[in-house]
Amino acid sequence: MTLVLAIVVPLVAAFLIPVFHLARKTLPVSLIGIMGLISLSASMAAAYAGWFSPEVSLLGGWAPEIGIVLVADRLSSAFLLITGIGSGAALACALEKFGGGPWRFYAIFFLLLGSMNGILLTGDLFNLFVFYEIFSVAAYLLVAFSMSWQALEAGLKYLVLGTIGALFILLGTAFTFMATGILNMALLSEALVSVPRETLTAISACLVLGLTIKTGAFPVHFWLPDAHSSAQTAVSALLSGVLVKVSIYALMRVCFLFFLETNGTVFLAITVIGSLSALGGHLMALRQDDIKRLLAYSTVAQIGYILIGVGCASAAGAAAAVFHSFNHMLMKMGLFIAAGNVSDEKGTREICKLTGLWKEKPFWVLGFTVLSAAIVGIPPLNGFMSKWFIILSSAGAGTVIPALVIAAGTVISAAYYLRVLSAFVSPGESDQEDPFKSSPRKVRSKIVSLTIVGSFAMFCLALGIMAFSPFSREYFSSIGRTAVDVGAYVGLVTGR
Amino acid sequence: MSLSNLFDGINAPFLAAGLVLYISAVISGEWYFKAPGERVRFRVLVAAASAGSIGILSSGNWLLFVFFLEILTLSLWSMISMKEPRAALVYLLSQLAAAGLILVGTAGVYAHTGSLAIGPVPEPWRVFFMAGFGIKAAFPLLHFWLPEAHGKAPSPASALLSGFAVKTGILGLIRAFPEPFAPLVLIGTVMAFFGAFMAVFPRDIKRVLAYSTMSHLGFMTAAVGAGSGEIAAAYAFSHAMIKGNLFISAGIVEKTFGTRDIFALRGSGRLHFAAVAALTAGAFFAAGLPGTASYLLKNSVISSLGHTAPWWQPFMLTAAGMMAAGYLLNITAPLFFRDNSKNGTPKHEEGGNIIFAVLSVTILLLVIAADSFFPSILHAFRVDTGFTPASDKLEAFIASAAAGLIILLARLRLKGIPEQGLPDIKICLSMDEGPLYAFNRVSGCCHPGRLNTFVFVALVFLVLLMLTL
Repeated sequence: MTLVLAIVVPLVAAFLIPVFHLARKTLPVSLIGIMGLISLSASMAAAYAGWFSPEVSLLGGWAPEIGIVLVADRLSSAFLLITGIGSGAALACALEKFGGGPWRFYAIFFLLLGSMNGILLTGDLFNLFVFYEIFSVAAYLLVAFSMSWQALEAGLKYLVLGTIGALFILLGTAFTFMATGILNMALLSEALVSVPRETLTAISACLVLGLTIKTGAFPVHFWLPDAHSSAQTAVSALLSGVLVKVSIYALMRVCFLFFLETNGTVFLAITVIGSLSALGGHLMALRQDDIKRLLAYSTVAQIGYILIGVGCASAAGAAAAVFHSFNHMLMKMGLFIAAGNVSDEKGTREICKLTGLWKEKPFWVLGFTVLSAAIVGIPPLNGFMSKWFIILSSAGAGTVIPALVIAAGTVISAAYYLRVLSAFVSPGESDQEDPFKSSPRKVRSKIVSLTIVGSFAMFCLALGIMAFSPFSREYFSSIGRTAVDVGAYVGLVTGR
Repeated sequence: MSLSNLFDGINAPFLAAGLVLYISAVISGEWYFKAPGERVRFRVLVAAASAGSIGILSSGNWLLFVFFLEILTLSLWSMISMKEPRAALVYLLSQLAAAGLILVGTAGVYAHTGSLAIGPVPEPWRVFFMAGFGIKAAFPLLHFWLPEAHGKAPSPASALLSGFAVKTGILGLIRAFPEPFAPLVLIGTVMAFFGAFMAVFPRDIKRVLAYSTMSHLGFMTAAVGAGSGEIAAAYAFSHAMIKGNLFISAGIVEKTFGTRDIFALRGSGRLHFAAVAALTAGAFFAAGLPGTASYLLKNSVISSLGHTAPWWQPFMLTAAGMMAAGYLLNITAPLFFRDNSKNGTPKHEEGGNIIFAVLSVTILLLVIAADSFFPSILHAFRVDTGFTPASDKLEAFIASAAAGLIILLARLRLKGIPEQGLPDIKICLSMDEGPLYAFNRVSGCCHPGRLNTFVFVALVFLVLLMLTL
């Protein structure tokens, strides 16, 4: 029951908001806040339930072969935690910025939350596609929400390119159904063993391509920088921190269940995509002048790291990928919120014009510094440890090139993040120009956003130190073991 | 990780060197930095660097070793960027690359042996440790960062860089390659000669000292390659003291006369002896004159190569040792023997320099004492080799003559050479030139932003996946 609530509660909230809007034009912030809290507690309850005892919910009491199944194990719980923390932070930022005015925004937001939980909990391939569609439509609308021409263009691009991704997921699902006649993922993992080699190739190519487009990995990343940089601050943070992680989860779940035993080359392909993504993302981030585009390309690179972890096809690799997903959520959300706020205030996103911020807004710059050090992988922050775990699992899988790519990525990312930071600390225009110039427009102080950035930065430090303790490492490795243990998943769903 | 590792046989000389250097860096920093904010920043950074150093020396596994190396790197980066952000960036990026390579090697060792403990590295992963510690210890071609960072950093930071930070590379090599390893001997001899050769030409005192550091690191690398880690460690201690002295006193000279160019400093020793006394004394010890620890250690390194080494290896090391006297003479003799009155007297700032001169000389006294600090290590070599500079007296004579010839030729045409010396390899990290520029151009083509391109890429990608899966 808890699993159903995690999906239903946000959807109910999404439908209640327009109803409330009929009664009152501007919704009170507290109402949306309470709805958010209730929805997130529903997600956390599902995560809690799934973490301590893997849980299956057969909707309507139908058997797994014909009914809809929701499954929560440690892998989905970990990602539920990631989406829960990330969406909560994004909602708080949005509430601080917009207040209760744009009811459509919140309706779409809750729709998105519900569909994300759906993707994380479903045990059915077609259901996955359906939730993906709700998720994508909501995401397109959120990107275009500010209605500026850049946002509309980015939203349209995201729509078209995302649809191509969805098309391939649907094709893969259709091929699977044609080949086996079932859609339940647990049963499919058993049925796919007897599928002919050629069919399996078509299925794996379509599913991997579709999910790769959705994650925004390198050769098919075109939508990501536009979407992530043109959206509102809270939405950018949500897209980069949470939405791509949901796609990563889908990729992990599908690949580990379907191809771990049937088609091992899928993981080699994922490793190659990951390495390309890491290198390409970093190199393109290096040439950006727009701070949010730089962060978006950095996301492409970090997705590459996560994919390298997934591509190891081992429990250690999966654990490293989940750990890095969690860390990347913290780091990139914080970076987007900080960058978005300082660039809103300066009225520009060009890095070379974001000067003098160290004098004006020391706390924002401090938060940005810690988070960027974390994402570059400077000890003792969490980025160092998660990169180390990925390098370790990559070497354990017998491949050195991805590990070298990660090492090179550290150097390149240090170069471009230092460029941003040196702009922040360099003396600003106000120090040099005439003092009679009109002061920049006053913006409300963003204490909630600042608190989020600060706490994420602290969290990064804490996680980096915690990762040394065997106790917390054991927690993360248990996620990895769950991810690769196909037998346990099948047993859980079928009750055998 | 355990503090008892600090006093382990190999770590002890490094610990002693670090202790003396950090204390003298703090004292000289108080005088070197005038603004109170800079002073506070420097103190904090020295504290962080010393914490990192203690961590490096006390760590028992490679992961922690890298972890603390990075902390040391970051604090030194911040110190260098107080004066030269550009050189600091090059330093930081090169050190991050080194740490990344060592991490990859460590991961490989873990996959291979199941242990992270510091120790000999098995075969397929040696190359990563060689490359990683090679960047740290400035192997030829990987040394691009060293002259920049050492030459341009604030002097107390240069002392720490040259005295301790590069030695961490040597420490890593000693730990990773405890057995004799021929490639390291080869690299070390080339490096010793190359550094000494490059040091002959610059007019910038600190750049000469930077190349001199490279040359000395070559001696240590050769010792590690020959399997005598103890000699390398003792050499590291003695060199740390000498370079600490030389860089701090070069800072005194720079602050006092406002320049590091030896042409502009001609005759300054006559005007203000206290300012240049420490530099001169340091140069005397660094040159490896008989009776100094340098002399003893250089001979020990050459003897440790043994009789199986090809003839040119001891030859090059001997020549490098002799050239040290030449290039140090190059930067000290003009201070006294050239009259600069025609060009006007150099800027001259009276101040409390005497204390710092005294401080530097005190460090030097420690160098002399180093001779007696490590008698047990060096005893064997004294007895065995009878102090011949190379395996053969004639060879040593030819090597010295060759070194002298190089110095002489360099002296003859010194005027035509730019202040920074001969052009050296530089990895350009700017967006306007170098490899990054090429990458930049290529990556520009990767994001056309057109829908048909995207569809094309997606379809090609699909075909590739179909073919491979």
